[in-house]
Amino acid sequence: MKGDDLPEGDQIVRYVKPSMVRDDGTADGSDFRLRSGRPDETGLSVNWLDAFEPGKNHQLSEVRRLSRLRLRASGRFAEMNVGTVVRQVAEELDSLRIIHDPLQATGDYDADPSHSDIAGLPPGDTDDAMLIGDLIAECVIAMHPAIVAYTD
Amino acid sequence: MARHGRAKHDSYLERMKLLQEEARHDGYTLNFASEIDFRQFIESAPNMRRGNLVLMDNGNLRAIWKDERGTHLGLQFLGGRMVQYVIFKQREQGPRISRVTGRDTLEGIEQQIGAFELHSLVYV
Repeated sequence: MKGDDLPEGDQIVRYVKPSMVRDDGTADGSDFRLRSGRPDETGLSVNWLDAFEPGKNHQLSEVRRLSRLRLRASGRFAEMNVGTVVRQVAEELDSLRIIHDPLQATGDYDADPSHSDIAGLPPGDTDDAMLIGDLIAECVIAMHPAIVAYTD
Repeated sequence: MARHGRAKHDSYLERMKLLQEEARHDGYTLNFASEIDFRQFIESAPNMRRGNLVLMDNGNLRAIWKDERGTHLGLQFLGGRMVQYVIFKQREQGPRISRVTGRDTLEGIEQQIGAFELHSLVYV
């Protein structure tokens, strides 16, 4: 339900822009902070994989299908465990929550039941935001292609 | 510049070119003041290890060095000879990692690297 904390055992993914994927293919912490030019932004968008039927490939496929972002081939989805992120960040910041924020269908977009927010983060242009971003980046357990080419 | 230093420098240039291209597609550009500071920093020490380099969506370059034990140095080049740092330092004793963040000058960062005993992480 909207506003609920996601279960600690579940997985989430966040789209990482190509320029914030490190040389070694890992996600940089700079992508896990609120954008400094967007003071209205209160949470970091993620997708809750377990909102979909089981099967990682199916879940990622649904995330890609329903994404409202302009995904790029060199971008990546960073996968994390909800409980790991909350516990790891709690060592430095106790306000962080990962909450369900499903999107309703609008115009050209279908409803996205997986959309969620990482809330309680420091303002994006602060030093603390970067430290917390790096902490979250350390929780990434897998990187997945943002775009998959399907062949018959 | 020694051959090793030149190869590292060229590798960074190639990486910056790629990052700028990626950023352009996503609607942001490299902050020139950040690039100047980054170049000055890497040219200040020929024996510096090659770090990971990313281009943030505020236009600043960020370099990261990390090891397998969890020690980590991230430097965002803000321009104006200022650097934002994030340090995760695995201490020799005890399970906890010390984590600090702040801002310093290009020269001051050298002192932070020394104070947190990060020489082997950053330099060959």
